[in-house]
Amino acid sequence: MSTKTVEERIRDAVLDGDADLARELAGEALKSETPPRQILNLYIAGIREVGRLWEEGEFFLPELVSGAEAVMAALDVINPAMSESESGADSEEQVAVIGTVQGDVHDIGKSLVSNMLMARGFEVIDLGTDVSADKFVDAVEEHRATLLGLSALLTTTMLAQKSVIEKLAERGLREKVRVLVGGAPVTAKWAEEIGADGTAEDAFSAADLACKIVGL
Amino acid sequence: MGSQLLAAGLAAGEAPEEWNLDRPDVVSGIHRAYFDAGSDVVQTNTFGGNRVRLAETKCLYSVEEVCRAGATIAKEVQPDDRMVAGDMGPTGLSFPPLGQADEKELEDIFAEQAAALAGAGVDLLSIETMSDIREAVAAITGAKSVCDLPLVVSMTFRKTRRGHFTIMGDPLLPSLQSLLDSGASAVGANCTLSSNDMCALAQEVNNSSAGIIIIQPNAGEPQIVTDGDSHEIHYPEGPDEFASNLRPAIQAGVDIIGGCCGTEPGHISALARMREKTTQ
Repeated sequence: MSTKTVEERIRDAVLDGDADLARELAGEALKSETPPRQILNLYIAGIREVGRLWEEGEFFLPELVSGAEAVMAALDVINPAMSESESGADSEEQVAVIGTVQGDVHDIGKSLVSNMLMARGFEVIDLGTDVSADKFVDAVEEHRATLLGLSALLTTTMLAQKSVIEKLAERGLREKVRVLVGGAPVTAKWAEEIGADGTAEDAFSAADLACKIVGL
Repeated sequence: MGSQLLAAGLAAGEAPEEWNLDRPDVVSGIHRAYFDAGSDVVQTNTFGGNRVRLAETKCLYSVEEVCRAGATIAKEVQPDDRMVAGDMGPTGLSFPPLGQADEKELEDIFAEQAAALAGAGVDLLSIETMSDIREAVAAITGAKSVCDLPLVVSMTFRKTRRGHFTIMGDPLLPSLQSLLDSGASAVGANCTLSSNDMCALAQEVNNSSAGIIIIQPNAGEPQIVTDGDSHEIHYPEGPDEFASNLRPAIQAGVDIIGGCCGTEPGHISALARMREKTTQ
């Protein structure tokens, strides 16, 4: 029986949703002086595999959530090491504000996106659910966010995404931030119609799109 | 019921169950419309009438109050040869890793609601829109602990490359079997799927199961229709298309057919006409 490589063990920890093991392996990798960013990329590869299995209809919500938790556990260990090794780096931190719109309390998808954005290097301000347009805009202003994510699970609450974008414009902030909208009823057509900068089908592609759109 | 209440002015985030006490005339009118359209069974306006959901929507009334009122309103307009089902939807709580719920807690929550509905004289209980087999079984167990009413239990499945699963990953046939094993009298699916897709699901169940089957499809996938500054939500499947898509299910002998999101009394009349046409 062959022993697994570090890459395989990390990937399996994410696929199995084993947060404790994920954290442990990250620690071990850091001790063996692997660069933090390289370690992080292994976890991102793991969560991409989770996303692929979700697409295939093999993985469902529980696996997505525990996979994301495993990555977050590893990040706990990797992030401090990363800021040490990259302090003084010229890349400005990207800040993302995210939340579920007013009248809507669904949060699983939004929290997954939140986690994926963190894994990809964003500082994430997660406002939770049932968030008013004013609260979104205040947060964008306060945190100088470069990305705003709006989640809605119901066709009825989806309309609030339009209100937030309008409010951003009213307060002269529309140009300062890229807006991504998402949720089960959200389509590319809707995103375009309300003047959002994009939408994605799931948390994994949302994080890809977010990075692309802010130039990360 | 939900679509009808929204059409009557229910605001997003408002507890529909409140109208059982605040606007009973509207709720009564909806039941009458469905009975007139030919419904054999109507479901009470108590989908979110469990203590978790009522707390979330900051409802002013208790489980007992909304469920008793909901059942009473329906029974007041119930013709002799028709039935009233006490409607019970999910709590919104999730089991780990998504949440902290446990079976016992859920059983208590559902028992409370079932007792209120049964106490108010409904003919059966309709447990629906379940996405987690564990919650569905907890609902059955909770209901059976307080009453002997027949239980019609329905889950929400999505179509994936590998077949029908709930968002939690519960597969279609094994889940329905678990429901039957736990004591459901009838089992099936509602929501998410449109009439065509639900018809296909029904065939799959019908071919394998020896139980009483129920399906309640949506009237297509909701679309936002923009008219200048105003937006309306529009479900694309009209009554005739809906009923026509479900004809194979009627012909195959699916026992109970209804409508979920986007369906109106017109959809039920069309179904009733299709049933007559088909069984002639």
